[in-house]
Amino acid sequence: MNLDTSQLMQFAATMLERNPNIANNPQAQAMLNVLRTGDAQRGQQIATNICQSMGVTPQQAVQEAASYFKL
Amino acid sequence: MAFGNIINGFQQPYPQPDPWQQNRQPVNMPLPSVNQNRTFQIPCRSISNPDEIMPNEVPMDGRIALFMARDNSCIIAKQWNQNGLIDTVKYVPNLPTEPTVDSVPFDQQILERLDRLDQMLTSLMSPIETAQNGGVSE
Repeated sequence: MNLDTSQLMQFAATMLERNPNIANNPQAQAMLNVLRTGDAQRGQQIATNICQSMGVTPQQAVQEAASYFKL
Repeated sequence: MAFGNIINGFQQPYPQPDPWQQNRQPVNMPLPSVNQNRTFQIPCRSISNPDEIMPNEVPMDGRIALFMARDNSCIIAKQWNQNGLIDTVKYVPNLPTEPTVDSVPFDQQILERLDRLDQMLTSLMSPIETAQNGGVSE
């Protein structure tokens, strides 16, 4: 069974919604809303703000994430 | 069950029934709610300078983090908002102002003022009395 991107995102959103720790997290709710609506611009804005708050560039964040997930 | 834990990324808050032991458990046993007996811990530490607060000290699970100044001058609360930025609120103690106590008592102030009035009257009256005395003597 092949899933397209939107189906995968819906699947991920549904899995995350079922996690009570995320359901009670307003910040995670904003990200889930991005997943549901597919608003890439809003998602990029949140990601950029997080990188800015953490004091890293988006490139560094992507690199660290790839390293963490062993991609 | 292990697969569910991996997907959720968190341990289940209550033990899942073992399918092999399911026959031994009562069927109508109510499942505890997720929030039951859930402790809510607030990360907190003392700081000497607000600049030493690192972003990774603020939890990204919606909780608020408190940082208390060592000199008790303020408490700084930080929390991630929905835009991916850290909101900061600074709480400053509102200390009651003590009423100023006069060093000189009120009675003493009145007496000193009366003394000054007495001296002023004396200085005003002395030329008149001198003139009157001089007039009488002539």
